[in-house]
Amino acid sequence: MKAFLLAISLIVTTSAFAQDIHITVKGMVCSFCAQGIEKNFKKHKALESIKVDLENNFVHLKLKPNTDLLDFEIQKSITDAGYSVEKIERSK
Amino acid sequence: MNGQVKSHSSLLNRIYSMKFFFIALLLPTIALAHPVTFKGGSEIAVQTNPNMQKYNYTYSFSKDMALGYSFFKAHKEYNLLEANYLVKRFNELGSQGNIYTGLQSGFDQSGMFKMGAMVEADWESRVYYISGKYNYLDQNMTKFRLGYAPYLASYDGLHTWLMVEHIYMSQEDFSDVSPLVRLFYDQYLLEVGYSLKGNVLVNFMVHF
Repeated sequence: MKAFLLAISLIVTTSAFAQDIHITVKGMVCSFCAQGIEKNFKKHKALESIKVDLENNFVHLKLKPNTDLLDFEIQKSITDAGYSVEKIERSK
Repeated sequence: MNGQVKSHSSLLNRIYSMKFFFIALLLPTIALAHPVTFKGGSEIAVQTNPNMQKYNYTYSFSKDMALGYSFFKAHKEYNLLEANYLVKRFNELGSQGNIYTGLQSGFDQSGMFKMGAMVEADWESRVYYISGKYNYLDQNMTKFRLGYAPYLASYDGLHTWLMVEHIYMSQEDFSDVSPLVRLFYDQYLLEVGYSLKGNVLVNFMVHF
C-alpha cells in the first residue's frame, strides 16, 4: 500500500513540474530522416510543441500543463524513429 | 557458314545497341530510395531519366523492416514487391551508419518472374556522406556515393548536398559518374544530376 501511494505521489509530483523535456539524441544528423521523431511525439496528447535541434543533437518537448511523458514513452518514440536516447533532462 | 556468323554478329550488335535499355531496366533497383524509414512511416519516390520512370511506395512496419511496391516503365512495364531489413544501425552523436539488406520479386509485363537481392551500407554526418550498394538482379551491380554539405542548415531549413555517384553494371560492363545536387526541405527531397555520359537524373521523395 505504501509503495502504491509512493508511486502515485511520484507521478503526481512529476506531472506538476515536468513541463519541458530536453532529450539528447544519438544519430540525428539529417532533418529529412528525423521527421519520424516529430511524427511519433505528435501522437502524444501531452505534447504542446516540439523543437528539433540538429546542431546540438537535442529534441525539446514542451508539455501541456498537468501532463507528463514517462521516460519509456520518450525512449520508445525516439527508438521507433530509428535513433538512440543519450540523455533525458526535465525542467519546470 | 558466313551467313550464320553474320547473323550472330547482327544479334550481338542488336543486343549491344540495346544496352541503354537494359541499363534503364536496372536503374530502378539502384536508384535513390530509403530502404527503411521509421515505424509507421511511408515513403513515395518518383525517379525519372530519359530512359525510364519509376513510382515506388514503401511502408515501414518497424524501425528495421519495410515492405514496398514498385511500378516502373522503361521499354516494358514492371511490378515488384520489395522487402527491406535494417541489419544494424550505428547511432552516434553527430553521425549515423546503417547496414541494410533486401529482396525484390515480381514480374515484367510478359509475365516473367524476376527476383533480386541487395545489401547496402551508408554513413553520414551533417557534413559528409558515403554509401555503397550491391544489387543482384540478372546481373551484378554496384553503386557508390560521396556527398558534402556546403553549409549547415537548421532542422526546418533548406538542406543542400553536393554528391557524386558512380554506378557499375557487370553484364554491360557499363559505368557512369553523375555529379548531382540533393535538396531537402521538411519531408520533401529532390535530386537533380547530369552524368558524364549525358543522362539527366531527377529523383523526388516524400516521407509521411
